[in-house]
Amino acid sequence: MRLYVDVSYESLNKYNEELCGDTVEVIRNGNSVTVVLADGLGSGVKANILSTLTSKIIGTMLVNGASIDEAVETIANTLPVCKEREIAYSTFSILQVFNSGECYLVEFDNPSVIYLEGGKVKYLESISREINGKHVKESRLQLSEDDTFVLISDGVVHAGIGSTLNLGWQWENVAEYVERTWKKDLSAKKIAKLLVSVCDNLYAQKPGDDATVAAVKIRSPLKVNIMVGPPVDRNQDNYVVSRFLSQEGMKVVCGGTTSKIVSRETGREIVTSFNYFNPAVPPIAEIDGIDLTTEGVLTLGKTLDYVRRCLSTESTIHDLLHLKDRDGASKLANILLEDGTSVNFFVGRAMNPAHQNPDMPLNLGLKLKLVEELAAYLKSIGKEVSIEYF
Amino acid sequence: MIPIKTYFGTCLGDFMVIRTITLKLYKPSRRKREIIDDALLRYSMAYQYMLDKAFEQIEEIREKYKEPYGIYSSFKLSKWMDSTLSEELNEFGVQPFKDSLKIDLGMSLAGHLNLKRIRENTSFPLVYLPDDRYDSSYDALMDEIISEGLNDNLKRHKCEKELLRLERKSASLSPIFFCRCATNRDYCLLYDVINKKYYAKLYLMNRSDDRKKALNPSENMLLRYIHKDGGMLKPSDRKERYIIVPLSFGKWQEQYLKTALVDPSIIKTARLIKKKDEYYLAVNIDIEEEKAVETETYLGLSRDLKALACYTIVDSGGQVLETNKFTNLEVNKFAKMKCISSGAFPADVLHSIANEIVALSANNKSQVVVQSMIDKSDRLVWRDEQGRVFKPLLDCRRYNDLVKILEYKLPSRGLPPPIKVSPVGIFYKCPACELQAKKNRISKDMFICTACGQVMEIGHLGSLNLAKKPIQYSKDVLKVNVESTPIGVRLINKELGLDFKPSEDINWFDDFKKEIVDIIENFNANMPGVKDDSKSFKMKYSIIKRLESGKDLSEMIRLS
Repeated sequence: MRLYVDVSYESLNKYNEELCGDTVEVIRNGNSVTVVLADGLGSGVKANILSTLTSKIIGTMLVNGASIDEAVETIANTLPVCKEREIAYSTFSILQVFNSGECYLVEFDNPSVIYLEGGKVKYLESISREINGKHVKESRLQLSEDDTFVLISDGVVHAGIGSTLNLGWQWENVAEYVERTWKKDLSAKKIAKLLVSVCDNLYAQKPGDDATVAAVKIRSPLKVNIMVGPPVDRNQDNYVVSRFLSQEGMKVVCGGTTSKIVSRETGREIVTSFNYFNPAVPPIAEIDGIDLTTEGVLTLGKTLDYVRRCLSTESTIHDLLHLKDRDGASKLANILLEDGTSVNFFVGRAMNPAHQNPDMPLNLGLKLKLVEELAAYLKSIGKEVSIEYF
Repeated sequence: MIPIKTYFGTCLGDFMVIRTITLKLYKPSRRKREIIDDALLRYSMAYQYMLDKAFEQIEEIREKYKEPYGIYSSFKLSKWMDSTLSEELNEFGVQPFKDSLKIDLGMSLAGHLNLKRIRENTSFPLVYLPDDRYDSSYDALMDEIISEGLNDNLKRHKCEKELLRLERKSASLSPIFFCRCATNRDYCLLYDVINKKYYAKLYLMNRSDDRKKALNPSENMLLRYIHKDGGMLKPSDRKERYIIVPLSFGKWQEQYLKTALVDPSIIKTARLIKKKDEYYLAVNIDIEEEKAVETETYLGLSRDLKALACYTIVDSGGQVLETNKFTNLEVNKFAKMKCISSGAFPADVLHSIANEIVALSANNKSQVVVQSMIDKSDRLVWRDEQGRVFKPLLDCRRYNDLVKILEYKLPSRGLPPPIKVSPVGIFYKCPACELQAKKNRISKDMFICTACGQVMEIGHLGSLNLAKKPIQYSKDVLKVNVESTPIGVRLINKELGLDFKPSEDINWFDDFKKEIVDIIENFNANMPGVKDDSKSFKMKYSIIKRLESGKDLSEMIRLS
């Protein structure tokens, strides 16, 4: 079975630094997903340059078939030398997951990667060898669904030193916490956000070091199909609904008219749900066989707000937690960001009579724009997105 | 000599704040000491005599004096001492104290009977134990121990307690209660206008007492009564039943005496006490209630594993304004010596914490929120992987003692008494995302939320959660159940009498709000003339008042 590699990372800049000295590079190609976490020597601009170069060089070379030996040698010869310390230095962790489920892990001087199998921390067997004067650890393993990797920089294990925790948040504590919080439906984004949030709190919002977490979770792919708006040609209603319903995965219907079409074509009743009320979001409904039925443009607009908020650099774990709210927009945003690995939009382009009112700032163009913006955000986080217009 | 304050009344508005100041009788002469000792002995014997009599009829008293709600009033019970019993007391020569004895007896019986309602095995009051009675009681207890043994801990504890009680009572006399401040009986305070000194005038002798003598204050003294009737103590050749004793005290007590010079009506009852061969007069003073403070913030006060207590002050939005711990080196030393658990806890420490809390509350206009440690645990105790158990420095009893102190100290500064809330989950609930889970507490001292990563030290977490509880309660005003019935979905709240069937219309919520408004208006229209004391009426009344006080009805409704 083909697996989906869910990757997300979050960084915390050292207090009063504008740039982070840690860099994460995620490279997806048809054959593999490569994640590189590099931690440059020192902090600020200098560290950022070191780590960016390291992650870019290693990522690109490995993806293009170079060996780790070649990549490390290239780094050693390429990185600018620090004038103060007279060394060129950047620690790194590399995780390469192939479509076959094989995994290759390389670590150099970073805290060990935390690996969980079935939600339990498992210590990886690794081989140590010297490449160009650097002691590098290599591990290879075969992955299965729900396997989780957490790559961390040393700022994570130093969190809270001398203030909230005497010895910092030691590796064992971090691993124990990851195990404690692990759930089958916990996304890579949540893992990364959660750990960075803990670090920020341990540092009392004044980080003494750059801290970065890159989470990788292996999961089975889940396709999400969203039908938005009625087709221009009413004669196509049956075709579009049949095609939409024949898809694998989750099914979401957005729009009052659209849900009536689905109800009419399938002969299934629409039941308005009163299980939750949020004055800012129209109520949801239930149609048998449909995972979520919502109102159209208002809900999509709110969903886009939530997605935008969750993916912004200022977002916090609380933004992600709000996706568990029970209004239609939160539910849809949660499906798009957390549940689905690929998204198919079935967009009908018929004009909604309600939107013809000149006092109503909504029009067809807005609906299409909302869908396109949503699609762009989802693509930016590695999800496969397709849009079909009718 | 720590001043003690007591409150009388049923609600804040009715409180009479009583502060007790203790004044030392300064070097009484041998004659006066003999008179006081004799009076204390006679009072104690008479008091115990009445208690013994009451014990014989306790079941009858229990039935006869029970109030409608099953409680006992000291005022009513004091009437049990009829004229016959009063006559019998003459045998002890306690004619000057009969009214006081009556009140003392009423208070003892009421205390005992009210306590017995909660704890059936409550001992009957014992105020004085003469030697012969001590010997017989001691022998009886020893016989019981020998015959039945001390195999179980409960029995051993009970015997130890009884032995201690016998020891205590045999070695002490009951204080004499003066039920009124008067110039011609009981007691009164005097002020020497020339020398600026204070005296106590104590009526301790019978008319027939041979030790009576004429009292003529020296020419260098001018004694004025500290009494609402005023006047000076006039010299006379008559043999008087009272003694006059100079008083010594500290600056704290002096400020109240000076106030009494201006307003003598503040002086109320008193007790004459003997402690370690010294004599004291504990005088009750009615102090004025401070102006009520309108609170703007909340102060949570929780127990802690490292400190005696921890507090956090939050504003009305739940934002932390201040947080800290009460650490006391003296007490920490005690904790290390494990004296706290053996009962050697210094009581004044609780008063000093309470004073700090009152000062903080006054400065921040805070409503104090405390743990209700009666039937639910806060689960602060921690057992680590090695099996070591870490307990809070303040056990439940001492925390409750602290709360009791706050209950009278806060109102004396015009602040409301503390709100008691359930302690369940206060050390396990995230103040940011509200997830309550056991696994949120990762160690003895550290909390890391497993949902949002919030990090807090345990003591601060507990006090913060306490402080935020009233805010949380005020937000969740109306919980409406969504129920699926054969005739469709219904929105129900039984307390409010709400049963609403929503329409399919997108604006159904407006209709729903109108339905609630109609219920409120209907309730208010029928309010005049309603005399309903039932729990359901009170509940409905409370919900409606909270809904009325809110700004937005939509924000106050939770569908579930």
